[in-house]
Amino acid sequence: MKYHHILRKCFREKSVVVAMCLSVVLLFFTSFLLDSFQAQKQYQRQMIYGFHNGAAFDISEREENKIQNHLSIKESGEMIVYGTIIGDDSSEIGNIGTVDQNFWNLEQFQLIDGTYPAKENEVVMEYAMLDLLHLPYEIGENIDLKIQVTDGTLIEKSYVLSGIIQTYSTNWLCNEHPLLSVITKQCDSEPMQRHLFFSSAYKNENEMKELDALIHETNKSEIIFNEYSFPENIFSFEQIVENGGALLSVSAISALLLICISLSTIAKQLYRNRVLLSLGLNKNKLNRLMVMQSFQQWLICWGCTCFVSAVICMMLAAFGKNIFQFTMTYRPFVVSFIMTFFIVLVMNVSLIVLLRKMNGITGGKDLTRYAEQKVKRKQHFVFHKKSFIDIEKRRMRKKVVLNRILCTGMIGMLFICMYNISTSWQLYQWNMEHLGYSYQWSTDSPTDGLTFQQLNKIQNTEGIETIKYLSSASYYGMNDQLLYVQYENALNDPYVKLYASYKYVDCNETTGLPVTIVMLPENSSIWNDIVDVTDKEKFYRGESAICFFMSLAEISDGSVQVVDSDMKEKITGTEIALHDGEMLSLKAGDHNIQVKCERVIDHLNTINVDTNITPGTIFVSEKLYCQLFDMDSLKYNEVIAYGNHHASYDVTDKLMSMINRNQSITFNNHRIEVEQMKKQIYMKIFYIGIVAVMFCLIFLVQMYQNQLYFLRSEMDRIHLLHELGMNQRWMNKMFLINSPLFALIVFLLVNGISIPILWLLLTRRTSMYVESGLSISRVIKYGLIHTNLWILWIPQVLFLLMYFYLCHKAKICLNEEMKKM
Amino acid sequence: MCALRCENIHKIYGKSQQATYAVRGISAEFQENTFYSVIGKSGSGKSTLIHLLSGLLKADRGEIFYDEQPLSTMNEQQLEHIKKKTGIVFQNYQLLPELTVRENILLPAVLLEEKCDEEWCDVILEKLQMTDIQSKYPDQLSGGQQQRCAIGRAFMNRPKYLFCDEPTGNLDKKTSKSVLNFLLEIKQLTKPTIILVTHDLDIARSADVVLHIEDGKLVSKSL
Repeated sequence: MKYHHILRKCFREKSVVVAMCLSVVLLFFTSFLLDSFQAQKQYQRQMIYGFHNGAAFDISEREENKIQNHLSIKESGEMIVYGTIIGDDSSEIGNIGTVDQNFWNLEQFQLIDGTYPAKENEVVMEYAMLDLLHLPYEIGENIDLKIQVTDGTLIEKSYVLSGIIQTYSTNWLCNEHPLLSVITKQCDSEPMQRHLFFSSAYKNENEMKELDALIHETNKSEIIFNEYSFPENIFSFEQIVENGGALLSVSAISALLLICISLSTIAKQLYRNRVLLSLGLNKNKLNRLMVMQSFQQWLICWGCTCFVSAVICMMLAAFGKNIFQFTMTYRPFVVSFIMTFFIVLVMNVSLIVLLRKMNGITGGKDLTRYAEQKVKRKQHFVFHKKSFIDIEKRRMRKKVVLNRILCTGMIGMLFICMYNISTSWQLYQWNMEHLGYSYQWSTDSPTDGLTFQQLNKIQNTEGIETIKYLSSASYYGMNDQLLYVQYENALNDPYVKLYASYKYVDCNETTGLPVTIVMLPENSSIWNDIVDVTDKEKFYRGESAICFFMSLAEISDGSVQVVDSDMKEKITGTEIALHDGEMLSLKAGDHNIQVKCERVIDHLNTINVDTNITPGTIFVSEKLYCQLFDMDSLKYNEVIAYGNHHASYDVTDKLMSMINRNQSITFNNHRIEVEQMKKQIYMKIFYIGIVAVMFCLIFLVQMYQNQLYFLRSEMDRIHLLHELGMNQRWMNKMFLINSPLFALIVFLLVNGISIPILWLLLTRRTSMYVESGLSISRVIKYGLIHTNLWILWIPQVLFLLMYFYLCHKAKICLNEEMKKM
Repeated sequence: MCALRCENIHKIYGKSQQATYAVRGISAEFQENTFYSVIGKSGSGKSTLIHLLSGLLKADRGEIFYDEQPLSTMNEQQLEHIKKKTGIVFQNYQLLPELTVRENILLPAVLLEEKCDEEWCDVILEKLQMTDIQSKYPDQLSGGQQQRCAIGRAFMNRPKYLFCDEPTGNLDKKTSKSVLNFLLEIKQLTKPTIILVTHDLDIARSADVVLHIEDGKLVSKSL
């Protein structure tokens, strides 16, 4: 149609188009950035832990070929260890060997400086090794290394330092197998061990099991998957909650923004429709035109914005890595296309439906007509409570409703954003407080762990501030075998959730109960509480133990599982009847030791016993502990070392990773985890903060505009209201109810309802921190740990204050107008 | 010849106690090519009458006949046919702010999917002395110019019936006069039946027939 442009102009809504573009861009960038965060996280992990995700250690050449040819292996690189580097104090500080060209391609080694070794006498070295060997940071420098080769001979050899690589070996959990800290081009001696590093396609579980089985076929070889190197499972619950939640909330906000902007144009659109109807257009045609035109408009707008956003995202993805030092991806385009399409579609359909319904309905004339009728009938109008409500109903104009929707939306959005930030921040703080820059060694077995010498070595390492250690028995049931126990990193109080058992004598019946047995060192802070009441010497001779029992009433279901019978029976009561001086029967494996209960402690500040499982803890001396578990010398099965914040972490990481080579002891470097968490939380704060501020501004501007429009129409009608008998006091009341009081109610409702619900959900999710199935009071008590209320509430309160200020300004204007009458 | 006729039409706003009787049983005949003016006080039902006659509102009781055909029995096509032959001018102009003067004038033809007679539009613009400002937007025009534009728009489909709801209500005396002159001048081209609602007696006197309404009733008719 030649004159089609005239119709298009009639139905064009610039503000809706702008809002639509803004929403599409926002959604597009949200999903793009969220996915980029994932990519960034993965990239960071790969930077730290290498690009390969598995390794077979100490394998033969034949086995190596077999693994290399497996279908699931994408890339592989060989590492051969030829000798051990000996430090100044004659201790082993690293290994020397060679890698093949494919290994370099795996990017396990991040070359910080220099080049890979090209000649036989050239080496690249881990950064931490330089410090450990007290060598200067100078490429091309000659270095002398003491190397212990396979047959045990100690040789000294000169090399030229060609490059420095990042300290990678500390990130691999392969204590028994040496990794290279110094890499050279070629070695003459006999290889010590041969490792194969690889990246696998990880298509399915079966294929990986097959690969695992293949590797285990070989005699000494084993597969170790570096958990950090695996690509994160994007469909995990947490990922979906975090990313999906963020995307959904942004979508909801975008939809809300679109609806609000569209609603604000309704008056204009109704006017247009009325004009068109008066010009001879019938309603059916008008509806058809509305549908056609608006769909055409949003389709073009959506398409163009998507295209432009996609181009910008692609450019960012292409250049982001170099410019912003941030990995960006263009993977979520499909999600963005679909999400934005549906949001815009729903918005348009609802708007058209609304307009169809509203055609021919006027907004503000209701009150005018009402007043006119009153005046016409010469009815005396007394302004009282009933009429106030009557008037208030008629004042419920679109702008007021819109402002209320915006206010609710904004407070809701602020709540979601700030809750997200505050929870993450609190978790980060919790981790900083409880784990901090720490290294942890742990094992489930009471007979395994670090030795006293190893403990000493940790304590004397530069950069280590404090060390906590514990020997504890963790087994459940007197006649049962040793069971694995989840150790939960709660080492601020190390005496938590480790289980053993003791004989419970009640009514001449002996029953086994699960307890925790802890070796109490001489310097333990627990002695501060009990030293005055205990015969310490008798305790250290192994003749007595100190017991701490919970009252059964404090245990969640008021009962304790009996371990000596068929494991189903439970005892109930209010107190475990054990008193000072009574005999205890402690049983571990074949050992059954009778010991006197030196003291039953009612309360210890330092003890938090998991009330769900163990009703008590029994402290024993080193001698008794060794006797009970048949050990010559004590092993510390829970050790945590806290790093100094000013330490050189590369070196400390390296040294800590080399403390223990026993595979059964798990080593955790919490420092890296906390550092990663820190980066992520800052990124989150930055991004969500920007989104929140942006929306605050958009919403406030929109609300201010609404307020202005409303004010203008109020000005026109204020005379009318005055005639109806409204005075300044009523006017102020109306304002109070209309805006600030409403906002305050929304604020209280949103926070009052959401916080307990979210805490409950969060508490259930993070059973790592709290027991499951808590009562509401406990949910609130524990929930408080999970969120920072300052972060949660301050932005909301600031928004409310700004909104109140706007309302106050409007009120002043109206009051002035009222005074003139 | 009778072009338009209404018989005992009623219009009530609101319900029960709050009901307001806007039009109470008006009957009138409107001849072809005749200029009628409807006068009365504010709230007497003038605007409601013109809205009922133009089909913008439905009468609660009574009937309106276009060329002796009752409006209430017309189907969509017949109504559309009537709309094509009808032009309406409002007190508040009701121009679309997104469109230029020319586009506003062309709009009725575009909406009714008629072949747009650009030459006729040029004639209207010339008659209204708006050729120079045809590409301006309504918010760039004065009240008088906007009303002229609205008149031009009403004439675009060469209407047989032209309804004007206080077209000079928002204008001063001088501008009102000139707008009326434009209306009369352009009337000579299409010769429609004009029904004009006003409370200005001077303007009402320019009409061929003056109808006087009070409290929703037709009280007098003077030639």
